[in-house]
Parts: sequence; C-alpha cells; structure tokens
Amino acid sequence: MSAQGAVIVLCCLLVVGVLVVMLSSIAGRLDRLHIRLATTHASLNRQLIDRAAATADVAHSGALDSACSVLLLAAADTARHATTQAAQRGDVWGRDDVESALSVDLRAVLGRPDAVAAAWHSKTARPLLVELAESCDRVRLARRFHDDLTARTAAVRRQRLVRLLHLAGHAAWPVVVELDDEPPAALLVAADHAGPMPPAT
Amino acid sequence: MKVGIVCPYAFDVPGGVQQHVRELAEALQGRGVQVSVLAPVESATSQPAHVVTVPGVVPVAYNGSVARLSFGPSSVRRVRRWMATESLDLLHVHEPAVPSLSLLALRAAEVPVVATFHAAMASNSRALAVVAPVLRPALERITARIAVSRSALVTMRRHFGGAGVVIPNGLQVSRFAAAQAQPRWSADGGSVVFLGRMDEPRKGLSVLLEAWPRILNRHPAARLIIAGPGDVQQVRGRVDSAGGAVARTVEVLGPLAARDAASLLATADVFVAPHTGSESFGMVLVEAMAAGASVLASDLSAFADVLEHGAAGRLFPTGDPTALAAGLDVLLSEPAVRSALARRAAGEVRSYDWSVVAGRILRVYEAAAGSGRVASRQRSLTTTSVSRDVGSVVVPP
Repeated sequence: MSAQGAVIVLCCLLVVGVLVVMLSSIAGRLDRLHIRLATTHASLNRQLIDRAAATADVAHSGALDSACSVLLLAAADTARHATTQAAQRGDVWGRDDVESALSVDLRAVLGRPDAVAAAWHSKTARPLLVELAESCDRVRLARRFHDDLTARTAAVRRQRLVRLLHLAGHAAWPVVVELDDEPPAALLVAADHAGPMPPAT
Repeated sequence: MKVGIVCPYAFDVPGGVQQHVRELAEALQGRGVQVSVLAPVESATSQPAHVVTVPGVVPVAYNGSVARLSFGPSSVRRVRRWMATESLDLLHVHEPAVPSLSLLALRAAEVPVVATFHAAMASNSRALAVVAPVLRPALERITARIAVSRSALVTMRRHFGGAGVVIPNGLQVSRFAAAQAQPRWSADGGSVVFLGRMDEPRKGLSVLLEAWPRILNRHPAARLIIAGPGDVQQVRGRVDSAGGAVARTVEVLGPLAARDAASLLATADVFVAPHTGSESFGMVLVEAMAAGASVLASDLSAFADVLEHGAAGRLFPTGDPTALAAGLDVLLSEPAVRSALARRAAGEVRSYDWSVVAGRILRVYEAAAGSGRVASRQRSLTTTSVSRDVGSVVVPP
C-alpha cells in the first residue's frame, strides 16, 4: 500500500472513530433523559395518589360541612379508583379527566379564604389541610417538571441524526400530561403561613 | 431524605448565593432533612459540621465580574469523593452555569437533581451565549429548575430554554422585625438610608447623591446615611465636594456588621435603592421591608415584583435623580403614606420568610424525587400497588 493510501485509510478510521464517539454520546444523553423522564412520570403518579389520599383525609376530618365532605370524598375516591384500574390495565395514564375534576372540586371547596378560615378552626384538621395544600403544590410541580423534561427529550429526539439512526431505540415518544392541576389558592396561602407542621400520622 | 447542596462560590466570602445556601441548609435541618453542603473556601476557616469544604479557589473574571471559583482535576476528585461518601437521595446545585463545583457535581450526578438559577443578566451576555451550547448536555441532567425571581427565570429561559418555577430567596424576617432603631441614626427631618456596595456603579449611589441637594431644599433637617462595603474616604470626598449643606447632612458609615445593618434599616424612615441594573432579586429591599422602613426603589423589574408594583414601596424611573427626589419628597412629607406602605410591606415579607420558602423548596425536592409525606393507611396500600408498576417511585423512609 502506498503512503498516500495509508493516510487516506487512517483519515477514514479517524472520521469513523469521531462519529462513533459522537453518536454514542448522543445515545447516552438520550438514555439518561428517558430514565429521568420515567422518574418524573412516577413522581407525578405518586403525587396524584398522595393528593387523592390527602383529600379523603380532609373529607373525613369533620372540618368541612357535610356537602363539601361528600363532594371531596367522591372526587377523591373516583381518582383513586381510576388509578388502580389504570395500574391494572398496565396503562399508567389515562385518568387526566378524573384528576382534573378533583382539582376543580378542590378549588370549589377550598379556593376561597372564608371557606379555608372556617375549616381552619378545627385544630385536628389543620395538619391535614396543610398536607393537602402541599400535595396539591407537589402535583403542580411534578407535572411541570415532567412536561419540561418531555419537551427537552422530544427536542433531542427530533434531531435528524437521532431519527435517521434510531438512536432512541424502542423508547416511546415522550408525551406531555394535559391536566388541570391549579391548586386551591386560599388553601395554599393559609398552609404556607402556618409554618412547618408535625407529620400527620 | 438526604440532600446534597452545592455552592459554586467561595463560602468564606460574603455573597447572596452563599448566604442563601447557608440559611437554606439550616432551615432544612430544622425540618428534619439531612443536609450536606459542598462549597469551595478561600482559606481554612471553620465551618459547621454539615459543610464539606474544597480548598483552593481561583479568582477569575467571569461574565463581567470577579468570582472566586473552584475547578480543575483536584476539585473533580473532591466532588466525586463527596458524592460517594454522602449517599445522597437528591442533589441541589446552585448556579449550575457557573464553571465551578455545581457544574462538576452535575456531571457526576446519579440522583435526581434540582438546580437554582440566581443571576439575572442582560440579554446581550456574550459569554453565556457562547458557552450555552457546551453547557446544555450537563444541564439536561437537571430534573427541576428553580429561579429566584422572574428576571432570573427569563435569563435562564433565554440561554437554556425550558421551564422552571420561581421561588424567592429566603430571609429570617424575625431577625429584622426585632432589630432596634438607633437614636444616633435618626433625624427629625427624616432619616434616609442607602445600604449596598458604595463603589459599584450599578448600585446607583451617584443617582441618590445627585438628588440629595434637591431634597435639602424641601427638607433641610433630613439626613442621609450611606453604609456598605467600599472605600469610605473616597465616598466622603465626593460628598464633601458637593458643598456645605450636603456635607453636613450626609454620613458615610462604610461596612456594617449584620446586626448593625438590621438596626440601621429599622431606624430608617425611607430606604432608597437607586440601583441602575442587573439586579436579579433585591434581597436588601425585603430586608428593609421586614425592618419596617418605607422603600423607594428604581423600577427594575425585580424590584417592581418585590414591591408589588408600587403597593408595598414606591418606584421611580431607573437612573432618574429628579424622579427620585420627587418620590423621596412625598415620602418624607407624608407619614401617612409611609405607614400605609410599611403595613402592606409587613404583610408581603411574610412570604419571604424561611418558614415559607424552605417549605416550597422542600416540595420541589419531593416532586423531583417522587417522594411525599402523606402517610395514611388506606393510601399506603394504593401506593405500593402502583409503585410496583411504575418501578421507580422513591418511597420515603
């Protein structure tokens, strides 16, 4: 082989080497993004389950009038039931309507300062109300982090090279969660200013 | 939950980020969260037991100012060793775009990461625009992003894209509310206070000094007290060259200890913040509000947010001494306006207290890590059945 030929072969090898390193680093990035996406998804799921439970706790506490209690208990139970069914189907999502409905009901019952002030009178219910407020906030945060990560992952996956070479493997296309997660405003304000509470047992 | 907090700036040098990290760690510990702080230090100073220090900072020019940062192979090794020994559940890095320990920790992170963006920078920050593509893969490792103000959020979004939540810096309100007014700093005609780096042009002391003769025309018995780091002689010289009346009514205190600064704010009838730019948050405004002073500030967006767009403190067009003088005239002439602002301000500052802010940050941790604190019986049944399906829910101890 001539010296010129050897140089060409060496250059080709170098280019191939650089390409391999580049592609594997993109694949690694994508892999990590998908792992984090799974974590945020699981977190959102967990926060929704927590919120339903915290809602039921408040409904049972006797701090609300009976109409409000019944409304919240029904909404919380529907959310819990939908979660169990979705989990049995192996379908982690598909309960957005039910969770959004719970948000609407929570705002209807605990969105106004006078309603929160009335419930606040009950000393035993106060930690439960704080828990509920915090779990509502965590739902909103978890969804925001999930959707942010979804957008970032999708942006990487839309790159031409990634699509062409199937660098994402068989990972499902990331989808944002559409959900009404607006917390009851007055409840959040009251809980924030109550300071840290001993954990509810 | 065990949280590792990383500060990029030298911990033994005063600064907003350092103070935030120090107080956040204490507030979290008060709530039963285990905390380990990793921070560079300039010299071997004694730090609390939960602070792990990395010696050897390098003063470098980064993004328009001098910062004392920690980088290089030995810093990388120390970050890795810290992570290996602390067995963290969550990592909270501050200013991950600054080339220091935060960025290094981010690259090595295996646990969920929360990041706080503190700085607000002008849209034409060339340095950030150049390094943003290099930083992006590292920043992808962040699960939850916090900005300390809307301005900081805008800066973050412009350079790195994506979404985040705004959680302000925390403050121990009671420390300022309990501060005692000092008769030696008060004045019959009204005591006006400036507190901040005297020699940094963007803190706007010159705007206030330009307005001061106009104030004296209307309020000859008013007094201006200037405090903060910087060269006292140099500021004194500037004041004296402005003539007799100005020289008589202006006092230059220079740097103050934290307790004296709180007392000074408690003594002030009006606290003036004439900053001319690049302010991300305005902690000193919140401190003045907590101490009971009426605030008059330039209308930077960060300040307008803190002052509720004029309801909790007056605003004037940034850099305009005539407008500053007019605003100050109103506040000095009308005690009723001052007390109305102070009342509103006292309500507003409650949301900056660590009791509120630490709770909000803790909820970000829980949302990012997939943990929570609700623990009733029916729920734990459901949680276990679901967590098996989704695999990676972190169940709290």
